[in-house]
Amino acid sequence: MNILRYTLVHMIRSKKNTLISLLVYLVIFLLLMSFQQMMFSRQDTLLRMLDTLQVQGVVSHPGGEKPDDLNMPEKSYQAFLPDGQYAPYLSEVRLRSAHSFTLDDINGSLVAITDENADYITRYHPIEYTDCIENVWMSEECVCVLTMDLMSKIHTDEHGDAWIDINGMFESNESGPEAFNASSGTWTSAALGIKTAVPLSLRVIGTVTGEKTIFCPFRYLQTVKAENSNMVLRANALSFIVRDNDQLPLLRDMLSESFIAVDHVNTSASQTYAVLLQDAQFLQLTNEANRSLQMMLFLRPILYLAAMGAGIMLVMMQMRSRKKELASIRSMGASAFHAALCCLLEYLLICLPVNLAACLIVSSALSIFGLYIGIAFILGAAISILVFAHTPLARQIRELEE
Amino acid sequence: MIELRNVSYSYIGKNVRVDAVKSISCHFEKGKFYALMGPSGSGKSTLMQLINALVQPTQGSILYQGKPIETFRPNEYRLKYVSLIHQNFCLLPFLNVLENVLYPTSLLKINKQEARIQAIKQLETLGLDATYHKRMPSMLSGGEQQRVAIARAMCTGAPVLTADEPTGNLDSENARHIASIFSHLAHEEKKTIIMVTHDPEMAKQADIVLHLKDGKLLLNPSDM
Repeated sequence: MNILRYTLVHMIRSKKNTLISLLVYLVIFLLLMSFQQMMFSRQDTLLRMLDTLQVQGVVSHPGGEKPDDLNMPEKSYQAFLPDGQYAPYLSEVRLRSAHSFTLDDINGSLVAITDENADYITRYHPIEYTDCIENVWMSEECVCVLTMDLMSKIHTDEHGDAWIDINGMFESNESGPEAFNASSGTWTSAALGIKTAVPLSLRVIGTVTGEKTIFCPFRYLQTVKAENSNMVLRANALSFIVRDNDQLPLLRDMLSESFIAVDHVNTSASQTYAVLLQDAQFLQLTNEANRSLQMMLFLRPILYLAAMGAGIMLVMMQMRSRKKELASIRSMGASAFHAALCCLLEYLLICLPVNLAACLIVSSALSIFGLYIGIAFILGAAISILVFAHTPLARQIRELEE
Repeated sequence: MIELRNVSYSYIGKNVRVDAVKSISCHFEKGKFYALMGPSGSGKSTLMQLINALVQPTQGSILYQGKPIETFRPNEYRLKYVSLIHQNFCLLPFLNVLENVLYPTSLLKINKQEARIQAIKQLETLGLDATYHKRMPSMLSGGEQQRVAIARAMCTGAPVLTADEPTGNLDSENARHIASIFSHLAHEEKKTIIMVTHDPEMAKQADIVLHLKDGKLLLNPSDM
């Protein structure tokens, strides 16, 4: 009779003991699994919270967000735009406040205003709207506000709307655009000859007092840039939203490396920009999640020890009835190892179906944990069995005879 | 077959050294039935433990067919050469009669079919026919259980059978029966039987009776 058959026969014919062992293991297993499930759920919740949390970031001049302090070189903020190096980590980027570039022809400047800073011109320049709703910068039209000095540069189309052509008209003060094709959205100018496409024709919707400046919504600035590759853009601040919070540490490292010193566009002096990640809440939750994870790491060995203890206790309880059997087989010539293996195999066969069922029913992560419980339980049982199996046979037989 | 040379055995019990066996020398021959007698604490059971290699002598040596028994692996020695029969039979309660008898043969890794034939033969020799084979130990009387235990000890073909008070739990009729079986095994099957007993009637059936007192072998039983 080999060990497996011996064990199976013992299990089948000692139904009561087998059933008790199975029930004890099942209860322990379910208790520990439930506890583990609870910890997993908590961890999941925290991680979900961390995922849903929008972490925003701001890159600005250390001096503050002053819209007239437009000194961030283009190459710095281009890194954040859709084709930039940080794009994989960012879900949304907004250049904040105003961005200007010089219009040499008129010795003035074009200032692009982002939606958030639409009130910039109202704050810094008295504005007089001629034909617009109040929030002009949310308009889908190409709109702009001019200073009075530039009023002479505008022309009026057949509908009576005033337009300014950023790309073309300042090249020829004499003629300006002659015709606007509404269907193609292009201007033609005989004076300019080959120039047929003028994508940034801005409808003038207001005037302000002051210098020679054109104010337009930021979204049109990129169009201007596309048409004027030599154009130098600068910004003083931008904001972004992190795409994947898991990658926040990586992004932070990259940012801190890149933004230690950025060359100023107009000077050779090194210019430092501040990168502020608004991740206080995220970090707080991360800390909480980490504490929870640490707690789990701390509790796990305790759970395994509990399973091991249960294995030890169960064997100790059952060994009272098995002492006689083990002493008998050892006195017949079975080795201590053989005797121990007979017992151990039984507990292994008890753990196996429970763990297999767990593997089939629950998720893989939990079934792996269940496997560890099983191993801990078997280890506990093994310790107990081996201690008994190595009791001197003479003493075992003496106890047997008593 | 088995020779004891100046064998002593001491152990520490409750901070006191106990000399359980003191310089015993004797020889157990093949085909003889020995009875070990003596009062409680005389060292009979310790001597049996020494012969079965359950404990090691603190002095002297025990030889099996001229070889010190320390040279054998203890479990192999108990399995192949010296079988032990217990007072309370020690049958495995979840195995039936035939399975109990066959169990030691599974440790020997001998041919299963041959072992089965041998086991059935041993059981029949001891008066346990096929109707007993499937019975569980709990369904047997004490005498029957002891006969199964003897069959089990016989089944491995060990030349020496040791029995520690094998009739202690049996009535006199069964005790006589067991004694006659031992006598038969010694004389017909040339086994060496060493039996510890308190019962003078049992001892009478032995070829040689050894008396122990205070751990010593008495040359003159009248000294008891």
